[in-house]
Amino acid sequence: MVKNRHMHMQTALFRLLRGCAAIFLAVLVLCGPAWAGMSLMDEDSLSDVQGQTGLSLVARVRTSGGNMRLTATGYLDLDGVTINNSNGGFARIGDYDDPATLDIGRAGTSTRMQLTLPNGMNGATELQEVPSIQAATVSWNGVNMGTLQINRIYQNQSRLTAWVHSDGLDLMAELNYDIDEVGTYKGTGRQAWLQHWLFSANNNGNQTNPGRGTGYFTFGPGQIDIYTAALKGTGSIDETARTIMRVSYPVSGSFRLNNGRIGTSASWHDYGPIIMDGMTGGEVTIYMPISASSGQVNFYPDN
Amino acid sequence: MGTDQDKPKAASSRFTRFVWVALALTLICLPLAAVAKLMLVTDEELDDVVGQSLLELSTTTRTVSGPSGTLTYTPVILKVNAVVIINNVHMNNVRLGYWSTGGDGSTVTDMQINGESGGGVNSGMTWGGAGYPVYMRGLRIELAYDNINSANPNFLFLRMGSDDFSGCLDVDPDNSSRGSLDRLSFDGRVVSNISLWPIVGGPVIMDQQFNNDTSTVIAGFDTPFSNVLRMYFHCGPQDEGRTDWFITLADNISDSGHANNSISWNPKMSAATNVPARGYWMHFQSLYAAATLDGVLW
Repeated sequence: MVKNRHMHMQTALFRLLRGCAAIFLAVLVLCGPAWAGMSLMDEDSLSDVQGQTGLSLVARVRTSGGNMRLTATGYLDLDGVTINNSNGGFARIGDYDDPATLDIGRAGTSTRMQLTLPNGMNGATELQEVPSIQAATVSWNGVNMGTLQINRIYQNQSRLTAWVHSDGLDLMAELNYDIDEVGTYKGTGRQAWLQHWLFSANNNGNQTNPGRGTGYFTFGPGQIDIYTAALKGTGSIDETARTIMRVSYPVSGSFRLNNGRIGTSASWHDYGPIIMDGMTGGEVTIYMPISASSGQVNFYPDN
Repeated sequence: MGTDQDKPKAASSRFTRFVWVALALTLICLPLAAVAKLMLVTDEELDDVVGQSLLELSTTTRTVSGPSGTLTYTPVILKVNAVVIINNVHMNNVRLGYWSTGGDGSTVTDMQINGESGGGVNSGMTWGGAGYPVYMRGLRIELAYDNINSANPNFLFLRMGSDDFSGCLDVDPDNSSRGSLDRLSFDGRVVSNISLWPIVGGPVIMDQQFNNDTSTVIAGFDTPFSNVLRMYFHCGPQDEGRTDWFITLADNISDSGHANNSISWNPKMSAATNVPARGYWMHFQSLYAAATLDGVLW
């Protein structure tokens, strides 16, 4: 009797394992063609590939009441975080004709991953569903500094491409953006707004009222190198020996801020644009030190 | 009891079961092996490696000297403890500001670097040019309020830059000996070997501040800005010593009726002591300006 029960359990376990194996096999078989397809892509096909070779994303979002804490030396609390169209409605990324896409392909010997946002947040502008992010209360190291808003993030087919190398990650950001306004205020006091953050290859508008041009403002292709404990050494902060992360990028394109505005709704003071056109060549490198607070790095004191 | 014919079947069945079980276990365990590999870095190692002090968030209260007394304000401060190096990044057009000073209703541009006037050429500006990359050892961003702890604080100014800045801003990147600097609003101490300013014979020092749209200038420029070819901060042919460097956007700030129109308070002082002038201004403590006079580089 006991032997029969034992055999019965063995059979049940075997059936369970066989079922699992069959399911895993089916998944592997179904995924096989996808991986095979990914390895065939070259750089050109990566740049114009559409959703079917990777993941496609369409999102229509409206959230309320979230909160977030960033802890560093001091902390930043964001309470009442909302994502919407800046008017309480839905925010949209893409539609089924033109979704955001995440593609994987090969360029030379490296495998690359590319996130491409849709054209002009396709449909979002017409539907007044352009994404905005707002925090009702920002607490800066415990001090309430009021409300922070990033309103109406327009963009056109911006892309982020990443691939790996031996010490870290290669990254290229191609941006065509118009962030309508970023601002902060508390109560009825004077507010601060930076309006129309414009990133593109070419400029548009004029010197006093700039607009977003065509093409991409580009960071990269550049490198993010991560240094391990074994490499940190005791050298200068300007060298990799004292560095935990090095970010190095060439930049090209045009950045324009349309207007810096301070005041209240009853009386605005508009101070005009910040324009940096035709950036070419060179590179920006950022060294992140091992530690700044322990005395290993002595930045110029705050005085 | 099975027959002899049944024995191969039983063996085959056992083998099939073994294969299925092995396959199932392998497929189940393989992802676990990948997860195990991701968990190799311990918290202790992470603590040892990562610089947790990359960002510093703080608020403070400062009381600084004003024209008639003192001004107390409360900045919200973000410090980024990283070294930022900008090497040979060229821009063909740089402009800041376009606003009405309120007096005669005319509009002004605070800064303009594209060589359209004063005999300059439009060769733009190169950050970290002439062989001297710009080094910013630590970044600072400040939002300043009259009293952030009150219910209705008034925003005063935004300040972005570094407490420790060195390198060259090259406004003659094509080496034509004609610069592209048209307008600049700044406070700081400028040293040059040329009579950019009324005093002939060097070294010439311009202290404090300059703005194109005001008469409140300590010493007016004798020759056009287009004669300036390069601005060296704590580097180059004549090192004027350690300096900070900030771009500011300030609203009108008053101290007993004295406003910050076209004039900063405590110029050439460190950022924590300085109150910026209205509009977009560049603040530093010192620089050395290389310029031409009659075609000769000084």
